[in-house]
Amino acid sequence: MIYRVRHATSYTYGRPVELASHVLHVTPRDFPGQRVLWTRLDCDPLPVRRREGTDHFGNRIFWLFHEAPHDRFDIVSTSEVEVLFDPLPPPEATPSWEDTAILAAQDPDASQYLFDGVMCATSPAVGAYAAQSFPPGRTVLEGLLDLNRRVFSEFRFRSGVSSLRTTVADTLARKEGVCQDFTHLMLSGLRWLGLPARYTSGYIRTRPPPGQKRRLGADVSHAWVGAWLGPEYGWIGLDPTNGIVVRDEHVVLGWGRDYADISPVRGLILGGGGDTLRVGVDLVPADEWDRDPALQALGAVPPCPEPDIIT
Amino acid sequence: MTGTIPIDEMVDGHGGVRPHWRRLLGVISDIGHRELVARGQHIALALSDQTGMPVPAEPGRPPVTSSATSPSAAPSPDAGETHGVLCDPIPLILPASEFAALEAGVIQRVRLLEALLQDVYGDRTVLTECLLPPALVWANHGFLRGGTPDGDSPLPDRFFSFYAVDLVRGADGQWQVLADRAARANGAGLALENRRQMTRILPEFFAGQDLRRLTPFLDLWQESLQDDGLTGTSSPGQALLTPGPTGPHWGEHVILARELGCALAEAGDLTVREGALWLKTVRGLRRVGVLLIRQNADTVDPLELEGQGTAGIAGLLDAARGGAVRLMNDPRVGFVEAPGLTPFLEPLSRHLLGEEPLLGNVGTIWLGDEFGSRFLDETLFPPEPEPPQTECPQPEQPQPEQPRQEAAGTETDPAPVPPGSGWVIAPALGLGKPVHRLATLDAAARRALEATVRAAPWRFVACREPNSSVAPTVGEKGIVPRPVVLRLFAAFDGTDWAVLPGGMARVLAEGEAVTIEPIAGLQVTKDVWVTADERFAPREHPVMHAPPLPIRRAQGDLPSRAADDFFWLGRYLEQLEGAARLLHVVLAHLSGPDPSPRERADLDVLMRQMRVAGVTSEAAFSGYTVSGMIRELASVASTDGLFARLLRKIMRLVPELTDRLTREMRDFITHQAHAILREMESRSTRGDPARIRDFLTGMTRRLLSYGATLSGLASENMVRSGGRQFMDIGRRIERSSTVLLSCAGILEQPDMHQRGRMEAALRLMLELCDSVITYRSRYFSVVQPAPVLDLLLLDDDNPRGAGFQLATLRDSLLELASEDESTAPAAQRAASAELAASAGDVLDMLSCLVASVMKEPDQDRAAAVLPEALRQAQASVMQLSGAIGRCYFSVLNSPRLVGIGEDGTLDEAAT
Repeated sequence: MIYRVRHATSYTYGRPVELASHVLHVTPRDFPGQRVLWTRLDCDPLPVRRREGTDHFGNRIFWLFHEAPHDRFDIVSTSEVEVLFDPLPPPEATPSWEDTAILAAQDPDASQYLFDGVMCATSPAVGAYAAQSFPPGRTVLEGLLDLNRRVFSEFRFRSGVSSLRTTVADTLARKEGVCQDFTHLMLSGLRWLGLPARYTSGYIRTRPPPGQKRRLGADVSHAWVGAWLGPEYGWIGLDPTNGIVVRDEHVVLGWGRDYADISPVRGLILGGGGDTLRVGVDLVPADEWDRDPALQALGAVPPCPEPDIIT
Repeated sequence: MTGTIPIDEMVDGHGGVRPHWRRLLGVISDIGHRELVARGQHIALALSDQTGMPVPAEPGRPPVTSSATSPSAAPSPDAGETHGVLCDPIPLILPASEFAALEAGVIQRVRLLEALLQDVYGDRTVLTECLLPPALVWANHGFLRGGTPDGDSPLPDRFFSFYAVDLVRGADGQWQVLADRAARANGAGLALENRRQMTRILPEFFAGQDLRRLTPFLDLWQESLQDDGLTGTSSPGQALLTPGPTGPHWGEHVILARELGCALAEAGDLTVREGALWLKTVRGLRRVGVLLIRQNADTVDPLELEGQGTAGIAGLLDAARGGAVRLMNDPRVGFVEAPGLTPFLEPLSRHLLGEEPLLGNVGTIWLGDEFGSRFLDETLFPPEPEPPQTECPQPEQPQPEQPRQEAAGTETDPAPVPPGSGWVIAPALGLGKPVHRLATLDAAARRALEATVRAAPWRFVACREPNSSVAPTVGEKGIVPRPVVLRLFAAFDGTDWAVLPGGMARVLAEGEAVTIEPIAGLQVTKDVWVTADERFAPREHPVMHAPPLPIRRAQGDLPSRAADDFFWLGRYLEQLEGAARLLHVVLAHLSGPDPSPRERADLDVLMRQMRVAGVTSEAAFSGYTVSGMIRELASVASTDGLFARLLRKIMRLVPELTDRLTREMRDFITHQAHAILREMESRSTRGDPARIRDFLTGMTRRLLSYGATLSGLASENMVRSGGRQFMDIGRRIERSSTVLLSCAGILEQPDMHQRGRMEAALRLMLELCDSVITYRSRYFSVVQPAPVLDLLLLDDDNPRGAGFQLATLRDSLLELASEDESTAPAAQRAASAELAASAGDVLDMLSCLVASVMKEPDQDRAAAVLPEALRQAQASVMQLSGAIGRCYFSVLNSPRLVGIGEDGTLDEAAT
C-alpha cells in the first residue's frame, strides 16, 4: 500500500520569539516493511540554518535554527511511503519468551530496548500485570498477542486524563488513557520481563464515518509498541490502542525508548509566551489523494520527486 | 581497613627513611613544627585569595568527619560543610623512576579509554564481541545519544583532550587506578597553584631539590589550545564553561581560566548563532573557538541531551559537529566514568590496543553477571546466621590481593567482622549516587541496601576499600601519616599525550575511607613532586610559536556578566558612601545641646532623607530629645541595617570578579568589610548617647574611607577600560540619583517660603553634597538659590554635583560609541551613542531648571517649585540605568523548552 502523509505543525506565539532552535522528528524512516518514496520538509519562516541527519536510533531528524524575531512557526512535512509488513510468523514457531529474553540480553542492538528512557520507568505492578500473559514456557509471540489484546480490552480510550507526567503505574491504576499511555505501559511491562520493546511513533489510517467526506487534517499522530521475537523473526508492531498487529494501515515515523526520544518537535525558544499549537495530519492512500481536490489544493507534492531526498 | 599495614610513602618497612625524602625531612626538622603550621596557614590564605573562596576553618589540620560512624562512606555533604581547599605544606614525592612508570600507565590508560569511546560511539565491536555487557553501554548515564548530520561521521577526531585519573598505592606497593575523571577532570589548576604558593611560602623546601617543573606542561597545554583556536581567520577565543561561583570547583575554574588565558563563562554568557559559538561581551558578541567544559556533560546542550531543563547552550553540539567550536573534552567522555566498566578494562585493552594494561585497578566486581551474583550471595550478603569467618571462595576473576583479605581480619580482631567488610557498594552506571561502605552499616541499613541491590544488581558494583598508602602530613601536634589519593593529569598536544610531572594529592582524614566518589566539601591537598633524573629525562617538546598578536588597547572580551557585576559594585559602593555621608551630617547636627526650633526643622528634613535613603526605617523622631534621637539611630549600625546589607552585597560580588580584581583590591574589599561588620556585631547596643554617637561617628568615618580607598585603588590599579569603566558608570548613576533626590527632598518643605527657611535648606543641600567649601570659596557666605543649584546640578567641575556625574557618564558612553570598527560592531556603537545622548538630555533638562531659577526675580519662590522636576530628572537617570543594562549586560534570558512540554501537557494529540 502506498500512502501520502502530510504532517503540519503550526505555532502561534503571543509575543515574538527572538531565537529558536528545534529538532524535528516528522519525516518517516526506511526499514524492512516500509520504503520512503519521497519526502520534503517546508517551514516558514525560513531558518538561518538547517541540517538534516539521523538520530541515535537511525530516525530522520532535522535541525532548524531561527535567529530573527518571528511570531509564528509553521512546519509541513509531506512524504509518500510504501508500506507492507511481513505477515506474522506462526506464534507457536517463535521461541519461548524466556529464551527470547536471553537472546535479547546478548543482542548488540535489541539489547538497548531493554532499558528505560527518561519517561517510562519500570514498575513492579506493571511488571506483574504483563507477567500474567507470559506463563513459563509460552512462546514470545503468543504472550505478546495476549498482552496486546488484554490492554485493548481492559483499558478504556479516553483523552484528557493523562499528560507527559503520567506514570505507567497511574495508567494501570486508572485503566484508561491514550495511545501514548498504553504504549508506555506495555513497554514497561515487557522490559520488566526482560523483553526488548520500543516506542514507535507514526500514523494510522482512519476512514470517515460512512456517508461523510473526510475532513482535512483530521488524522493524528499515533504511537504503538515495537516488540522483538528474537534474531530470526526480528521486530513486529503491536497496537494496543486498537488491539491489532501492524500490517498495512500504519506508517512509521521512527522509534526510541519512549516518547522523549522521538517527540515530533523539540525546541528551545527565547521569547514568546501565550503560545498556541495546531497539529494536522492527513494520511491517505496516494491514489485517493490524487482524486481528492481538497487534498490536491494543499499543494506540497513535488511534480517529480527530487532524487537526493529519497533515502 | 583490614589489618594489613599500609605502605608509608616516606618510611620503608624497616623504619628507614626512603632516599628521596631525606633532604626534605632535614629541612622540615630545621623549620620546626610550629613554623610549619604557620606557613600552612599562609598557604591557605594565599589560596583563598587566588580562588576567592573563604579560608576553611583550622588550616593545617584535616577535618574530622563522621564517616567512621555514619552509614555513608563519604563525608556527608551536610549544610555546614565548608567547600574550599587547603594545601598541606609537606609535598608527596615521587621518584623519577616511579613517575616514569606511572606516566606510561596513564598515557596507555587514556589511549584505551579513547579507543573504547571510538568503538562505543562507532561500530560497537565491544558489544558484538561480547566484551562489555549491554547494560553498561545502554544504561550508562554517560552514554549520550546525539544525532549525526548526513554525510558526517558520528565520531570526532578525538574525544579526549585532557584527562585526570585518581590513583592509590595498595599494600603491595603498586599504584592502582581508583577512578577516571574524564568529563570535568578538575584539579589541574589547583596543582599549579599549590606549587606556586609552595615555592613562594616555603622556598627552603626547594633549595637543592632537583624537581621537574610544571610550566613546560602548562605551556604545551596552552599551545595545544591556541593551535586549535587560531585555525580560523579572526583568532576566535577560548572559554572555560563553569557552573558558576556556587559550584564546588569555582576556585579551580578561576585559576585554570587565568592560567590558560580563557574567558571564564557560564552558560548564560554564551550563545550559538549561525552554527558558531559566541561570548556575549559589552562590545557585542565574540567568537569562541575552543570551549573547555567544566560543567555536567549532559546539560551542555538542552536541545539534544537528556538533562532535564534548559540549562546549557542550545545548539552547542550542532556547532561542534560543524567544526565551528572544539569541545574539550567531548561531552560523551563521561561514558568511561561508570565504575561498572572497571572489571572489563583488561580484556578491552587486549581487544582495542593489543596491549596488557600497565596500571591495575582497585578491585571492582560488577554485580550484574553470574560471577557478581555469586559474590553478592556469598560475600556481600550471605544468609543471616552464617558466621563471617568462612573463607569465601574467590572465583578466578582478575582480583589482585583479594583472597588474602578476610584471613587477616580473623587473626587480629576477635570481634565478628560484618560480612562484606572492606567492600563498598557503588553505582555501576555512573557516579552521582552515594556509595555505601558495608562495614559501617547497621542491620536495618544493610537490609535496605540489600533489597535495593537485589532488585537490580546490574546497577551496582562492589569495590574494594583500598588500603591506600600514607604520607607525612602536618597535624596538630606533629607530623602524622595520612592516607593519600594521587591525581595525575594528561593533555594531548596535537600528536601525543603528555603527563603533568606533578599533580594533586588528596589527604584523607583519620577514619575517612578511600572510595571512588568524587570529593565533596573541604579538601586537604598536597603538592606532588617528581624528582628529576637524567636517566628519565623529560621528553623535550619543540616550542611552538603562535603568530604575533595584534596590539590591543581595549579589553574587548569583558563578558557582559562581569560588566554587570562591576556596574553593581559601583552602585553599591556609592549607595554605601551616600548613606554614610548622610549619617555623618545627621550626627554633626546632633552634636550640640537640645536644638532650637530652627535646628529642629533641619533635623526633621534630614531624618526624612534618612528614611528615603533607607538608612532608618520609619521611626518618628520629631518629638525626641537629642539623646533620644541618638538612641534611635543606634539601629542603623545593626547587622541587618542598610550598611551591613550593602557590605554583604559588595562582598558577594567579589568571588564573581575574582579573576578581574587585583589581589590588593579583593583583600581590601573583603577584609575591611568583615572588620566593619565585626565592629557592628560587637558594639554595645545600649549605653549613654555620647558613646553611641562616638561609635556611630567612628563607623561613619570608616565607611567613608572604605568607599574612598576603593575608588583610589580602582583608579590606581585598574585599566581605564573594561571593568573599571562600568564600575564608574554605576557610581555616576547612583551619585547623580542621590544628589537629585536630596535636593528634591530638601526643597520640598511645607514652610519653604518662610523667611530663612530657603537659606537653611540650601545650606543643608551643600552639606549633604559635601560642597560647602567649594561654595564658600566662590561665593563667600552669601547663600542664594541659583549659585547653589548651579554648583550642585550643573557645574561639571564639582565631582560631588549631579552635573559632573552626568557629564562624565555621557563622555564615558561616547567613548564606547567611538571605538574602532575592529573592536565593536556598528550596532553596539550606535546604541552607546544613543545612551550618551540620553545622558546629555538629562543634563539639558537640569540646565533649564537652573536657568528658570536664575531669571526669576524671586529665586526662593522659583526654587521651591523645583522638586517635581528634580524627581523627573532622577527618574530619567534610572531609565538610563535600565537602558545601559539592556545594552551591555542583558545576558540572554532563559529559554523555554517546547515540544516535550515543561508543563506536562501533550503537545500533540494522539489517538
